[in-house]
Amino acid sequence: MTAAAIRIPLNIGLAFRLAVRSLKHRKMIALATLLGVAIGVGVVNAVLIVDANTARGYEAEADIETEAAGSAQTAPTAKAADQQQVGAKTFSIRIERVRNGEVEKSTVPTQRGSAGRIRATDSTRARPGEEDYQAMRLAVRMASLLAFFIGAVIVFYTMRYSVSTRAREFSLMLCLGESRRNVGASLMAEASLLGALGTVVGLIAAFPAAAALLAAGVSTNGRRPLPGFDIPWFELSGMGLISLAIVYLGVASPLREIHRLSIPDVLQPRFLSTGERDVQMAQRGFGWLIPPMLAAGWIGMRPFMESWLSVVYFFLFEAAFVGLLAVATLWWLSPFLRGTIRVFETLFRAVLPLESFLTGRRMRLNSKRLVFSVTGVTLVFSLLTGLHDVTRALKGEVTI
Amino acid sequence: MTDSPPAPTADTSPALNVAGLRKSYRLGKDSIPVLQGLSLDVQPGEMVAIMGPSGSGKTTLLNCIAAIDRPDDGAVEIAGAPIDYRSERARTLLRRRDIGIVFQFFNLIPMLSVRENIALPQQIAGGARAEREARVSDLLERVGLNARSGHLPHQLSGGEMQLVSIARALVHRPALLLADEPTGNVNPAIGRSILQTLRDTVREENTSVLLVTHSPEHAAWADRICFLKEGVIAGSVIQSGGPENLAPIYAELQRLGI
Repeated sequence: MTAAAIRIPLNIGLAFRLAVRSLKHRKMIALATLLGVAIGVGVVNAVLIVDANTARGYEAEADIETEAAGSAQTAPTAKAADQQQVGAKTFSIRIERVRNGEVEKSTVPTQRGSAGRIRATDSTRARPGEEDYQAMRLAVRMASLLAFFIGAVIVFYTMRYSVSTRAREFSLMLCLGESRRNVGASLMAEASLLGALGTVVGLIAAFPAAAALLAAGVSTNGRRPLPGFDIPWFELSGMGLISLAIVYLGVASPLREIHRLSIPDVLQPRFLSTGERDVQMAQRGFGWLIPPMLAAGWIGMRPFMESWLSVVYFFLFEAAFVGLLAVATLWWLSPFLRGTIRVFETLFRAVLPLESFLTGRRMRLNSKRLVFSVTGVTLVFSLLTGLHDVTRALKGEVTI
Repeated sequence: MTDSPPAPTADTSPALNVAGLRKSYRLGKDSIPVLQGLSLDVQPGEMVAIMGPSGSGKTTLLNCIAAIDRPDDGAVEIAGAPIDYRSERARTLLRRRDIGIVFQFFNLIPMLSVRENIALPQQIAGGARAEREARVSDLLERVGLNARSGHLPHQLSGGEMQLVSIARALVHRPALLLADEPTGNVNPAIGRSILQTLRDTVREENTSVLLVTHSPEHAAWADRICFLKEGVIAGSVIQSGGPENLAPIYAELQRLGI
């Protein structure tokens, strides 16, 4: 059998040993990644737990309101069940049960109902402000997702940074006969360890956080939460899987870099990087028109969208648009930044010739990364500010 | 003074055979030829030094032999087996089994101790742990770093790091050891000590060595010195009088105008 035909087995044991060593050696990077995952998972999980407890509280409270208004159309005892018809097509089942000495009532939608037991009630009428409560709940969920997004950004950056500083180490491993697949496996092992640990820490931290929020009377829709502590295990498990997926996505790009790594260029660099030339080539054509055209299109459409959509959906559309524009700007801003740096370089050349030359050259070479960092951080803060505004607007509507 | 290399021993193929190796680099629109049909043999157990001016292609030659760079043309055989440059797996297995590399800048893994750094190629290749441990202990003894086995690379001096690097390159008993200016980053006394250790160790192991150096004093430790000029081996010297015999080397350098 020729060497080319021999399959190199995956050395999982070595991959994990190296991963553990690497994490111990780069404690700060490991801690940053772990915290990124834990914060994201913790916030989302806490909101999910609060939401699970709040949702029941809302429905029960709504039913109690209906009962008061509709002269006790529901059975007064626990374990009774009625089915209601909403309009002509939709059915729901109302369940009452005793928990912690209190009667809980919840309404669960169903597709079909028994004709003999169906009757219309006052609870089917739209309650004033109900849409706003739901919108507020959506906004809170979005806020938690934003925290998750920030966590994902931290993970992405730290993993990328970690790999870029270790190109020499990876090249050396390849020189010693390690396969690219196994070098990638050690990186995956690192991601798995950090992802799993971060998820567990986030999950554990979510319980006291959610309990504290509920105890303080905080809920996802502004209503008073029910006593008790229900844990939505299914959703929390899903969140854990998503966080692991995010961590793995964070190493996807570094893994690709490992497969493209040129050993001689890393261990014995001969020529200057051609990165700047590649960026310049990517800027050719009329691509630079995309961000201004996108912005102009949105400015034109914005008043119509604002009148058509509810506050939350308008915010969602605008957030999606801002994200798209940020991505386009990432691509567009590099040559602009390089030009600006060149201008400053020229201005300061008379006063600080060497410093301006070296700083300018370094900044121009790193302009793409610089723009990516600044735009990423700006985007996160823009979304946070936008979310703050929309939540405040919704709260105002609910109060009115 | 130009001599032919020593005749190969009976029933053995050369540890290294390079035939008609060509390699050029592209810089913008220009193509810069580095190796221009270079041919070279290294016999088992032989220590060959390569000398040449900066940019003559010494490191490129080592990179092509180690299969971390691909030549444009020509063939390289290690212990009689040709390198299949098209296959990533074949190149990986070649580095894993047949080649040890010593770099000028040590290139130790910073998070691993001296012992773990030395053991790494064996761990990559697999094998029994007890045998691995015994081999590492033996090499640590030979390079005189037993007392430093638990230390991390940043706790060592430059000379000690290079000795660790040599031990790591030999741990899997490669047929060929490639050393790219192993003494280029240490003072002359440490350099001599490193070369002494290198020569003694490879003699005991019957490993062939291809050593790249700028220094005639360091090249004199080899059995044969080849001079690289304009992408080919322009001359060679059989070193017979030991490391102190530098005259033939200087004479050849002068003759070739290096």
